[in-house]
Amino acid sequence: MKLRDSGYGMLLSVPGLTILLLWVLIPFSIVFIISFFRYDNMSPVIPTGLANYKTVLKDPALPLVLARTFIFSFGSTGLTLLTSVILALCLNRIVKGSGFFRSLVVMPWAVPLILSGFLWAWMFHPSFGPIGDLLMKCKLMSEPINIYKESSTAMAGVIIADAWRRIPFLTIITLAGFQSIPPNLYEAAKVDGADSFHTLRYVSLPLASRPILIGTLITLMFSFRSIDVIYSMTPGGGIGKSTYVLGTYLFDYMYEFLNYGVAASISVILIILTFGIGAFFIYYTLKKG
Amino acid sequence: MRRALVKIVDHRATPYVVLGVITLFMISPFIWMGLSAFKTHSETFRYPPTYFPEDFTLETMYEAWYKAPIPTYLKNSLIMCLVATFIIVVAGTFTGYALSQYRYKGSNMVLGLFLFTRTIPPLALLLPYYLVLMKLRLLNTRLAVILYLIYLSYPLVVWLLKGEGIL
Repeated sequence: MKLRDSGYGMLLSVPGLTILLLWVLIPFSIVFIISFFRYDNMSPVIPTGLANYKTVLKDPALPLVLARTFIFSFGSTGLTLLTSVILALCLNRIVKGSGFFRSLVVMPWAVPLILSGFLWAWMFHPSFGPIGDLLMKCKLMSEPINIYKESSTAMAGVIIADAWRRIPFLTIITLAGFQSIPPNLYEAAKVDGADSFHTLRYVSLPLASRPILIGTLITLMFSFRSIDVIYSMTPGGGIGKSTYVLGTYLFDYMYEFLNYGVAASISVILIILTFGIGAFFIYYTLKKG
Repeated sequence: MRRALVKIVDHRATPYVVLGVITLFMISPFIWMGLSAFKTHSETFRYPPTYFPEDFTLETMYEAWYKAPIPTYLKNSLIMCLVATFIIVVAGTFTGYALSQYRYKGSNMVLGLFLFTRTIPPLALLLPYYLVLMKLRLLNTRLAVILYLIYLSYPLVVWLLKGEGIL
């Protein structure tokens, strides 16, 4: 067989494409088809056209759910991005102890997201968690802080737990971006009289922008659709449904109300919204830098 | 003002201080988890919390290992992840090799398709998986989890084997 035989290449792709077809495209079609059926596990399954979508779009809770989803995902991504860039800049500058800090910083990567929520729920626990106690010992609070009591702090807690798990990935990506910059550019900038802020603004960030951008889009996409942390930290959506995001909404329709038709239409909406972010991700990934 | 800031940022100790603070944030849950592992039940849930275990005990470890029971869970995890990894890597190698060595009509589209799969929320496909596995009478089996793991990781493996990295 000739090495450049394109038929052979196509043949080799068959097992992979079969898996893709069976595992992704068929479930994808099923969820799309179900979204046009009345499937609530009570009455016979019949096609209802767009009724499921109307139920979702007319739900007065939907704007709130969407707003919280955006706050959660952008908050988590913003915190992740900021911390990761600072971490990567520091890790890029030090030589001694670099491996030590790098391995400690990457540790949360090994933790499943759902466990991250449990861990931070414990850390933030008003009576036996260390954070409230430490704040009180430092005389910053008169009584242990209860983050679950107010909607803004509950959201902040969830965002911290989510970002904590996502920082290692973006840090490694950003660090790799910084380390691929040739050192003579820094020397040239120094000769031109640039201080650290100038180098950061005109050398480091622009030259590492592609990995940072793609890493950020991946983080945004993943936190947009995640419910793991929210489910383990604030089961059911927290106080006043303050951490009730699109994922939890979908989960409730599926496992609480057992209304598969509406759940399917929420799934389709979730897929479309995530693809809005994913399209940028695909575009920048396939575009050669 | 700016000059003073530059001086602070450029100081040799600055990266270590910043790294120290952020690293503490990153490992604090692990520290708390490790310390609490050696506390007794009542001490773990005491107010105000204690930091170092007062009665150092391995009783909770014993309970977790034999009552939980962790060995069974470990066995389940190992079986599921090893089988899924084997299937994914074998099938992914074919696809990755084909995509990196041969250019054929639509090979770019195939690659784009794998990337597109990464953008589909796994949560959104939970319902069809649930229904199909129910029809196949596979719910509550290890095989069901293995099938779902294949969906989660397969496109990523193909993409990595193609040699593009995550970027």
